[in-house]
Amino acid sequence: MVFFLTLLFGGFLAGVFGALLGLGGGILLIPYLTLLLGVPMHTAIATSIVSVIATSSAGASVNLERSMVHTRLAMVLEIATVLGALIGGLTSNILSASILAKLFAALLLLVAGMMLHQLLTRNETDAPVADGILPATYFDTTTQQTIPYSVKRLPVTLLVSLVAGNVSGLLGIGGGIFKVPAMHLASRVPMKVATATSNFMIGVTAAASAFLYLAHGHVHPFITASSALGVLVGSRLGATISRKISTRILTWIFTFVLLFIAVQLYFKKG
Amino acid sequence: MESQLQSQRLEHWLSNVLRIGIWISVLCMAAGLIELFLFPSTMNTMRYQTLTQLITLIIQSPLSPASLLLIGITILCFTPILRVATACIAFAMEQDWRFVTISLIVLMLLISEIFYALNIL
Repeated sequence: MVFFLTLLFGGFLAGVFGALLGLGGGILLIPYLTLLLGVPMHTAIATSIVSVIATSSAGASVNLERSMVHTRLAMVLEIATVLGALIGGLTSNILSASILAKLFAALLLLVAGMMLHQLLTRNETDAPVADGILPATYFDTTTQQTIPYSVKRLPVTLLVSLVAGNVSGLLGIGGGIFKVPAMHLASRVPMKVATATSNFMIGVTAAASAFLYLAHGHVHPFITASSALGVLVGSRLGATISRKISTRILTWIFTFVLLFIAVQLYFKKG
Repeated sequence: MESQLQSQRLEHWLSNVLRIGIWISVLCMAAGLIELFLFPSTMNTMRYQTLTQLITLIIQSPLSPASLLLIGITILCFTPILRVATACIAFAMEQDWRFVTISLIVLMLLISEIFYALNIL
């Protein structure tokens, strides 16, 4: 019972902070499972993959009703992310746990760097453009206006999506940390749509490697179900409170937490 | 106007597929966890090494805690795939053949992954 509550709590925390900071829960859940609970790396990755599917499906069902998801763009990018995830999932099952831990530590450093960059270069957003491909509109609740937009430089975002899918399959994260900036900065998709579309996509990306982890026996039903339920509840709560609180200070703290976890994971034995 | 209505219908369908998938999965996982707390000794049956063992476990005792948890997890993993299939049908109804092809490619990649996983027996 204690172990169940610890798993549920870990999933819940990962879900809340993931939603508050615009990340999937995996980036926190994997270190929590491996460093604090001693769960094997492959099982932790598999658990995270299933949790990513849970948060994506729950969040996307709401975002779809609000017409915030560009389903056609998502479908195009999914070709790249699914291909990347398949390669990542196959590679992950060959690599040892210690190599995966070191790769994950490197990923955390990269994510911390990206978050630091985001903090130091705020308000550099570009206005949506109408002269690209796949034109669409969304309703901005803050300005109460319907905003038209379209997609520019699709090949760049496709390439980034391939890498994001690969990292997702290999290390069990959603990959939104790469896709959202690519959609927003390269393809000029409005930030809210980019976030909703990425959230919609990560479930499919994760599903692309989930069955490989299932087939290799890395999914522990009890650990996975308990954590996934925690993440599911936590991400719903995080999404609700994220509209009411400023996340800037939280992002600063989180950046340093990520750096600390990266060092711990890198030097972890076994 | 017509295309906007079609787009809203697609979004509504996809949203329902995801919502239903999540609910069934959560119910299975919750039932499995409750049963596990009632019969803690069944914790030993949680591990499997191959997909054959997993399938055998579910077929032999579909209502055991391990099976219920695995069924919930598997349904959850299938939800995004069903979502791609639903989008494909919706695009076909809109006669948007370009996107029917794109969603078929995604679906084919996902199904090929399942077949590959099934071969690791």
